[in-house]
Amino acid sequence: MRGERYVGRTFRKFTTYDVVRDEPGAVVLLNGNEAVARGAIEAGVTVATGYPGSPATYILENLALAAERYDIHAEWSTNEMVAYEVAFGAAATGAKAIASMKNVGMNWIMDPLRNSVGLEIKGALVVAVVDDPGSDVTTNEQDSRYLARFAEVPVFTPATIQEAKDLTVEAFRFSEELSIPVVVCPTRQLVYARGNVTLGPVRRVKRRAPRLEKNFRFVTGLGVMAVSRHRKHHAQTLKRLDGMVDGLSWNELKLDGDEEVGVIASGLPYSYVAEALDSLPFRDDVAWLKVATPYPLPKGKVAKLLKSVNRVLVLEEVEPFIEEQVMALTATIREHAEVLGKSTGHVPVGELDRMTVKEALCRVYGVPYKPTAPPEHIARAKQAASKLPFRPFVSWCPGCPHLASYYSLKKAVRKLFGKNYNVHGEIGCYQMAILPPVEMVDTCICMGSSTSVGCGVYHAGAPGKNIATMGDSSFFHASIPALINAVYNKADITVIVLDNRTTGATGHQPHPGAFGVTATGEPTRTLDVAEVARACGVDLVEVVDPYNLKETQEAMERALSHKGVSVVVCRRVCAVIAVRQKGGVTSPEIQKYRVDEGECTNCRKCMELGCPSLYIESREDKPKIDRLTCVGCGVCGQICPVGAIKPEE
Amino acid sequence: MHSFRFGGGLMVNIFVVGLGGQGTIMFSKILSTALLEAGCNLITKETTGSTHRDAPVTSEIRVGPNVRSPGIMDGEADVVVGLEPMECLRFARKYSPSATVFVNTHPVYPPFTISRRPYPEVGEILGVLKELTGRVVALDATKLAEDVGGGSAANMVMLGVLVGSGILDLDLGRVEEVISRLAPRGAEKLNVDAFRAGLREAEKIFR
Repeated sequence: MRGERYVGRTFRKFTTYDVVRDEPGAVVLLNGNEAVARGAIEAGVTVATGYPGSPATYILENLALAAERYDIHAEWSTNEMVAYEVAFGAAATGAKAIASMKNVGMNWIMDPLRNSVGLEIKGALVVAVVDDPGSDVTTNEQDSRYLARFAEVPVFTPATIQEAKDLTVEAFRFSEELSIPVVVCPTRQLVYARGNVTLGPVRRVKRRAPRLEKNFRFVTGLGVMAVSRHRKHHAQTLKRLDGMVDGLSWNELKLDGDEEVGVIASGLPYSYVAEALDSLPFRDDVAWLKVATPYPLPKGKVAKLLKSVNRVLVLEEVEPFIEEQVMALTATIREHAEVLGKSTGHVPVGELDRMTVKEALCRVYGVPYKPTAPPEHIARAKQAASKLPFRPFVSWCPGCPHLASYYSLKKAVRKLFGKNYNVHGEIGCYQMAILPPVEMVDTCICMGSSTSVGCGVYHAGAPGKNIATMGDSSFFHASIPALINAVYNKADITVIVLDNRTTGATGHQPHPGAFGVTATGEPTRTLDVAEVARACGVDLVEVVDPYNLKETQEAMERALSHKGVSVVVCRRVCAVIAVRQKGGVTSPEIQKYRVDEGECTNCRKCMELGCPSLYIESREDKPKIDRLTCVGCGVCGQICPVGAIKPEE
Repeated sequence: MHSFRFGGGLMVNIFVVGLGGQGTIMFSKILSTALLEAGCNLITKETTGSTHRDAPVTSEIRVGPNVRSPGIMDGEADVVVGLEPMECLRFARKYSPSATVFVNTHPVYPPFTISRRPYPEVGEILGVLKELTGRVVALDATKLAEDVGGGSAANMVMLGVLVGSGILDLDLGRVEEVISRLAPRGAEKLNVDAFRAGLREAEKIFR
């Protein structure tokens, strides 16, 4: 497959290529991301966009993999807003389009998404957003369902991997029928889970020639134009939508009429409750409603349940989004069930799991909860594990050029300003700079925030030289406007771009400044960060190889001494890619380094680099280099003041 | 070894733990594909998504006709595969008191600058594991993998021992076919060789 060579290697580790199979009825093993991509393929998607971001990255990678076979334009866009707008443009002409992103990525699209309502697209537009309850791979565990509601577009939340596929197909149908964008919002646990999925047929209708209507249909307007569209959205679209979601078979109601307790569950909590009920003796006495559309709620089915049972337990992750709507609905029903959930303390806020759900269910039903294993056993196991040496849950890679850049930056900035400096960070591998021994992050909000936050600190008059650090993918994502702003508003700031020629943290996706290929492997132009910075009006732009510590430190000192905006581009390909290109870490092309024990004075200067290949076995031991992981960058050799770190013979 | 096959089919929770880069995901992908092709209903959960290199990572495979949701809760794992001894102990709360634990005895040392404590004796780790679970099967899988061409295939040695034990009632040939289909291109032979080395080791252990 053409695209295959270019998709991230990390991604290839996950895929079984079953996502592209054209065998309706085949049972295959897909993860939730593959299932969403497969749903889009089955619906006949022709334009797919996205920006890499865990846990949603693999949706677009799978679509890129399928691009050639199913004639899809798949692209890594520069950021989520661009991704959404490209997909909108395609949908305006009659195409079926999908834009995929992580939860916080959805925050970036709110302007165009909210403004799309009333523009009546001709094709279909699905926004796939993956939420992260538990905040495992994201900076916050926001509940993106609220954003869909704010934009007044429906949101689908799959409860199983099969549903992740089926509901994506359904989302395309809704979008096409109602001419509005539709959000599909699975969660991290679901997209990272792999399970049995039955494939459906791939829709291959003869495409109508895409065409853009020029009758102001796709032009936002002020006053009357905006208001009339908004009123029409309420009077017609949302009304039709209410009927559609109530009839949707995935909004499944199990109600015999004699149950005392009812459960309303959405997303994975539905699967948890279904499985918990399997093992509980009172399973037939519980009525339940599975909600596949938290907005708009299937009000008819909810009302039916509320009128029939005495108590209703609402199970959903993160916020009480459905619960509050259900409570509002009770105001319209004379005699209704008591609503239990997060607001009554029966269900915790945030991520749920099978045990929590089972416990809540037992409590509401009034039977004692019995855990699977004896609590004493779990306590003993926890006790044994608590004594183990800590191992970081995230870690730098051996020979990471960012580590060398930070080492030089720290030397340069301390030489010039002592401890009087502030470092502003962003989102990427280099967030780990918060950990010792690097410890070079004072602020970090989101993509694109480093330069602008630094400017704010400067303009407020706070002491200290301000330094912004970012990766190359983040530079193109949102940092360019911030850089222009810094120049225009005359800030004094040094911007360090850690240019490792890839989107590292999400598994090496290409971007405008890397590889010179698109998401599907077509050759394209490579933009140069330094040229872009110069074009933004930055007077002092330096480009260095971070593996050369002396050169890098000197360039950084020049930039830091410059009054105004200066940029240093630390350019060196990600060590993981470099090692792969050489044929692996054991390749004879890699010149390993070693510490000469006789010459080593145990000053531990090399340990300040933070390279994971350098280790100390006990408090007294001299540093050693792990032969197995050393990638031969030679940076520690430049640091050693007595020359004890040498290439192996 | 007794198998986890019951009337309705295989019913088992398998917990795989190792360090990022040791191949827990490849292990899980191959094992779960083999299980699916043997007719099982299953759902897995994997650690992934950000830079987890050399950090503790797990794959949790739940197999059974009524299994619907991912994730093994505390005390639920029936079978454990540890690719690194200390990390295998770190997740002990997940293991059932009667679990069978397959563990690679080859340690990977954490950076001392962060861990601040010396790595415990491997024998000590195995002892605690034995106290907490039903049975511990310990072997130096990294060494066995190095013998057939590369320590990075230790995960396939462990898969060989697991499948060879008969505990999952899987057809050896089927698993081998899945390995040669799904292993990284160019490394198919190494992975199959490592798997076979694991099978041979299982024969010795479970004779």
